[in-house]
Amino acid sequence: MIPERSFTRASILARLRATLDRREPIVAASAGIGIVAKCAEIAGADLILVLATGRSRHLGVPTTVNIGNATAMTLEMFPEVDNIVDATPIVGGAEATDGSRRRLSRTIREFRDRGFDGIGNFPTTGSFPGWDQARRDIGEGAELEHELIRLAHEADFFTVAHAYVSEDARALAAAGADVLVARCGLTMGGMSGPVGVEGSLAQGAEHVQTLIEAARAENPGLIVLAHGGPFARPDDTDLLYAQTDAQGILGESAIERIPVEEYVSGAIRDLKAQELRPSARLPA
Amino acid sequence: MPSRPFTREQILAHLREQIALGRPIVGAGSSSGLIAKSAAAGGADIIIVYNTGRTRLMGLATSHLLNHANPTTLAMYDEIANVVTDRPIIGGAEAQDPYYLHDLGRLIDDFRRTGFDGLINFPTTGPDPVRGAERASVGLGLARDFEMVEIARARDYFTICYGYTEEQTVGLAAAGCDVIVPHAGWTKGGLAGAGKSALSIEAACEHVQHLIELARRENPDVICLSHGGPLAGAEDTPYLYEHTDAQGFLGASSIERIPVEAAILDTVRAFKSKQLREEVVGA
Repeated sequence: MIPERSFTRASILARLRATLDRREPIVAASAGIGIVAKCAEIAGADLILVLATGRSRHLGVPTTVNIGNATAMTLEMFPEVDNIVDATPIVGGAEATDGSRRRLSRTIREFRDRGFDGIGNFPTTGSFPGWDQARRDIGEGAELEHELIRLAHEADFFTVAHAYVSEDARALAAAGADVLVARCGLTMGGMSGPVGVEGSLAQGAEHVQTLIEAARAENPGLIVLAHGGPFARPDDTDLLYAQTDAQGILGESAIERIPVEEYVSGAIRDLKAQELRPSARLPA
Repeated sequence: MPSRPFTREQILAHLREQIALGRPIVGAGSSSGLIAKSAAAGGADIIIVYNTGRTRLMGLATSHLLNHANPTTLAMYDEIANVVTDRPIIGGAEAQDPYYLHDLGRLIDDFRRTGFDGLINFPTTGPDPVRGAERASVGLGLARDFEMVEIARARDYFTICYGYTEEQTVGLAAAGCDVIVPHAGWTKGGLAGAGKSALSIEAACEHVQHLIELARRENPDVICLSHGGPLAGAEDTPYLYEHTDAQGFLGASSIERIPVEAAILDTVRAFKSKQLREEVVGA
């Protein structure tokens, strides 16, 4: 018998606390396709996130948020991930500023009814700062993301909030976020990472710590993860955990893009680096 | 290699050049842009799109039955072509599809018009002779594979063919396929590989060599590759090249399932293996 997943906000938090009690980092894995989700679960990921950007990663193009209606894409991606994940919470990203889904409570209900175990504000206007400013002027900016988290919290639905700047980190923590992801931007490296962009691990750590402190001023018990920028490889997290209060990592390109690029190209290279026996060759 | 699209002659010239250099041909089953792009970067000679790839990427054991093969494969083309500019892209065409009841020429037209540089006879009734005989009794059996290849050849359209059995291999070689791939069964290994049905590597290579010899009797120029069963990756192919006249390898689970599984397992485990400082653990 294949078990049904059954998680509540309280049981997910208890699970994450148990991970931390073992001094293990919390690893959240973005999974745009079933095989990624399946293997992430087997390898011990604590959370699986379904994010609209996963689509673009699997297309083999640079990570892009706007290649479709993000919330609709996320809802559409859910069944494939849900089908293969038995015992790990699946958290979806909803675009709170999507003007075609103005009733945020309804979006939260839709995610819950679909079978998601939690929700987060992703994509976020934090990755479009200029746009965000213009939308805030008309009341349709990041405050809607804070509202999404507040409403989900009120509904006792688990939340993973995403912030690029302190102001949002603080507001999302105040809104009742269970987990905050301190985001450092596009993940460096691999075949589709940013080119000509500098960003040291030390700078990334400083940014993450600033966001953590802003958020913890509102809610000292908040669980905080880091994402992206220079934190692309498992060993990059050594410095993260040494120099910041981050309790884990969200891997998007770091899990479902860069390793796939490397292992698949490596498998081909190994297959090509062999020799045919003389009787199999054609005359030159 | 030049840029897409490729003619049959251009593809054959590239393959023959590789074989003359003693380098195995590697064909990579690729069902997402990310896989196709990575396979091309690794040096794959041919990118192949199969409807079964969808099931592999869903995390399931390979199945050709979860979707309607031809429309699925045709719809997968754009994503692959978007990232592959300098390798031929070959599509799996199901000759037994009843939607092409009286006109396999139209099936070939659909693949060519979509942009595929050639086709491969997949899915096919080859691996299941009982089912194959039943389908043959309603006019949708192996003969359809042969007919499809004959039409493609007459139109100078590149074809790769899986041969599961003697009958299928001989028929396809006689029909004029450019490349024959003796098929050694569903690929073993990884999290969703073949079970007890898989052959030993010795038996698989004997099967491959036997089918290569039969195909060459029909057409001495046919390029002969191999696929499947215990031949699952670069650790297995040295034995293949030592013991058979195979000139390369077509991988599907070997490219887009097993390495992807390993990539995610290794990476998530490595991220999990770190230890947090006592003071950040909290109450």
